[in-house]
Amino acid sequence: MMPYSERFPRNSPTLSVAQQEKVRRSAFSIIGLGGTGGFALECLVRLGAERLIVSDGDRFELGNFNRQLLATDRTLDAKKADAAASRARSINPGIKIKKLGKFDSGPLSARAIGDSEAVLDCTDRLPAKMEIAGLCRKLRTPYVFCSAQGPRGMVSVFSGYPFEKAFQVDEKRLAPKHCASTLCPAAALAGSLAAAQALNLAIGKPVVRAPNAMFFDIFDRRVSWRARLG
Amino acid sequence: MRDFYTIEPCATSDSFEIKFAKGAKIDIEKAAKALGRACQVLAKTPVVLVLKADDHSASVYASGRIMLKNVTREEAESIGRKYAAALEKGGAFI
Repeated sequence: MMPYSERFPRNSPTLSVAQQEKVRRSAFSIIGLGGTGGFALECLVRLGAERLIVSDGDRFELGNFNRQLLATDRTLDAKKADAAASRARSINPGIKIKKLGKFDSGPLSARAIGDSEAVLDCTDRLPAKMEIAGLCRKLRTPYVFCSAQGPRGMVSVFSGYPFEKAFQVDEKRLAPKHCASTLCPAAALAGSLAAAQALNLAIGKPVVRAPNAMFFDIFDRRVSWRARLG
Repeated sequence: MRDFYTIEPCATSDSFEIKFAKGAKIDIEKAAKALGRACQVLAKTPVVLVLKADDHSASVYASGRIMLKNVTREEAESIGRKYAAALEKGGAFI
């Protein structure tokens, strides 16, 4: 097997030897392996992360092809967690990847994500996000909010700030609803920014913490800016 | 007839996913024959069968899921019942 140092040399000198080693040793959890989660996974693996926990109970379907990196003819109808593990190992066979099915806030999931440097929430439903954010808050694990819809996206790191306060959650918004369309560049950008925040958490660089957030609209001339939640 | 239930998927709007009880898988060849009488077969691969009918379109997956597009929940339940009966009759459940 090709040595780690030969696989990711071009991360240097942007990442120092110590920073690269920190990324390698850190555990990152990615919940949701669809549009944003697939790109977040790709970035973390290519950044050199070797300890990943991935969670998704779904299988790939034709409706995923427009935006989901891991959705291909070869993975059609395959479990997303299996496809993610396979993709990660094809980039770095040395990776240790723990697959969870559908995420819940029970003790097994809590134990699995508990020692993560960051939990990247790449799910697309508000109730699921609330559950994951709540668990992370309880575990005192940094929670990276990641969302893309239509041409827009948003990323923010929660480390103590109440999720409910940021989003002013009410029952109407919690009602189950269909996902709207999302364009691939929006999913890619949100997932990549979430991975970047996880990287920054691992190596001690600044992150955008709630109530601040990064927003973008790919149809806008300004790709990103900061705004305040809540 | 197989028991089934519908749930809301995360794909496109106005779509519903049918999953059959007991983790039944679907033989795509047999499904194409069973459902091809009432629907137009747009595509067939070893893992998916894409169908078009007058009032809806559907993707039938070998893992045992059916995605129904452009339907309401009530329509999905009604169409699902018809699909289940046809697949059962055609011996398409594995």
